[in-house]
Amino acid sequence: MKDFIEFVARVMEVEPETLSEDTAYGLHEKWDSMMQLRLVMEIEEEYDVEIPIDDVPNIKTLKDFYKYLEK
Amino acid sequence: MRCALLSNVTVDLLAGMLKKSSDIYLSAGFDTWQQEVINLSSGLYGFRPEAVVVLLHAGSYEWSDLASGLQMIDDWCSVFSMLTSNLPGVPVFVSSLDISIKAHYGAEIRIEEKLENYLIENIQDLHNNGANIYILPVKDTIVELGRSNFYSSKMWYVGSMPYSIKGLSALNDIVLRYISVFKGMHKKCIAVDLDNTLWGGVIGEDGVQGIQLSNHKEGQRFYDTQKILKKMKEQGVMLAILSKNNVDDVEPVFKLPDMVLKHEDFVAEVINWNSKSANIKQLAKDLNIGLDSFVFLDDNPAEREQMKAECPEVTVIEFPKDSSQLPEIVEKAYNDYFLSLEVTGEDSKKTAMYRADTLRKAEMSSATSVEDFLKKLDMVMDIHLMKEEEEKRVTQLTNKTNQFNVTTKRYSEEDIHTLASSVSSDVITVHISDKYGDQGLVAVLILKYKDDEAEIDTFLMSCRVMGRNVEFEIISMLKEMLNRRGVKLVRSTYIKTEKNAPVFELYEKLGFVLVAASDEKKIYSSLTEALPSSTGVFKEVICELW
Repeated sequence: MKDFIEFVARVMEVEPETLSEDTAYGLHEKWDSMMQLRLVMEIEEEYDVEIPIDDVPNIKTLKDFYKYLEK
Repeated sequence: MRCALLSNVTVDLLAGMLKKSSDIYLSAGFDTWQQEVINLSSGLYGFRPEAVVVLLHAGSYEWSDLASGLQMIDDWCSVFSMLTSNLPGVPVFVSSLDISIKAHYGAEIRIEEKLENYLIENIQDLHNNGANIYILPVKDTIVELGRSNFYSSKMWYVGSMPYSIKGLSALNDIVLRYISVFKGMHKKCIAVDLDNTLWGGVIGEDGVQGIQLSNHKEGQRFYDTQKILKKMKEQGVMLAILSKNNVDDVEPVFKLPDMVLKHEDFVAEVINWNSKSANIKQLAKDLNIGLDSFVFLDDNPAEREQMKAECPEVTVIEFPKDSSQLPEIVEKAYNDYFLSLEVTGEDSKKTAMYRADTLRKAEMSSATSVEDFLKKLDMVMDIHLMKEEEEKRVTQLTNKTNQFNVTTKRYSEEDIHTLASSVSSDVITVHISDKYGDQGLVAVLILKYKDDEAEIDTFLMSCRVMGRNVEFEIISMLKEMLNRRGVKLVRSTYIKTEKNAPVFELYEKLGFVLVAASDEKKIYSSLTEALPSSTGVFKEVICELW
């Protein structure tokens, strides 16, 4: 999880300390709809996972994203 | 550099990447590039761009037949010519199209290439008539990457952005490369070694018989490299020799039939036993160019290291370990450092004057005003009180619309239901369809009533229909409805957020009077009778508000 948080921090261009697994869409100033898109793409590419399009609206926190890495 | 990025799809992420090195302008709304160009008081012109990139995604349209496809491209080209004449001296880069029609059966006529080429030919015509317009070879990039790598259907369906991360990265590269040419960043001279660079082997040791230079087998890689350098020279790049050799040893090689490059192809032949860095400094003086205008090609790592150390301004090409890659590396160096957009010989630069007669084709299909452009969209508006089956969608819109949203009030489905059923409030929905298809439910208004006054609690619209005067038409329908209800005065509010700058002056434009203002909020009012009248650009308005 820690490495994942660091990766997300790089994509969002923020300090990893400002993020946690509960960081949520719409509540972190950098995580708007464009960032949501970018996170889906970057995570898919970096971790070689697939996030189905139907799941995207249900991903609300970093913990939700992390689930795909665990699969 | 101030660069405007216009597109018919969402390119926010690309703009984010470009912003690292340039000042980027992105228009508000979705697919509003034509309005931005036609309207002389648009943000585009206010930005005073030094370069404009128009990135058009062909996948947004159905290219069902040749005639309508050609017509659309004609319409686009008349907008391009408007753009270049409104911004003289500013280079405009238009992406080449990638048209992919999935279903082909039997011996159908393939229209994609005709359409793709039609755009290119038209742009070249404009260019040849003095317009500062160029093709951005995006199609080539897509061919190299492959469509499955360049596009992302997930991003298209979720965010109206057709590109994958790889695609965005490739676009970023190509845009930066082309706008940097205009910043004058390209190099002027390539200084090349001879032994194991222009031919295989060492001439001083192997002699003319022993070196490898031929148009087949192993010697071909050097032959091909020379051909690429020759083409570069024809594009205006200066070639110079920088070699540690005896002139007498080298001379016989020029007589070989497979020696592509001749003496007259070189601006200088510096062949001696001095250090190459000292030689290049002298060469720079002789040619009257800066050291930073040089690119250095040499197979010897020691020479490359010395050049980097003594002349850091010189760009040193990473010579491939496998020399079969040499032609490719030189070609890449051309793209990276020398790319020139004006393919002329020694001719002087083109002037920026227009010739009206050759724009005749463009004028015949041109939209000379925003009004004409909008009329040609064949828009049909359907405005009515919210129906129960629209509740979910309305709720969704109040929660996710940010740009065109004056008060950004977020509601639950329950809230919306209450507002719609109550006698003292109304929820109004607006649907738009145009010649491209049904755009769906695109705008929501929530009105609250008290005595003979109404308050616009919520007014939001999808970015897909921004820039089309839809808001004017909506308010004109509202006017009629409020009249019938006996409402004399309408109040409205603008609450500032990070994203709703596009509607900062919406109510001013709609003719409302500013009653009070602070840093966060503006309060307006208008007599019902002072509200705007119908715009006249809609093909049809179906109104069921009363």
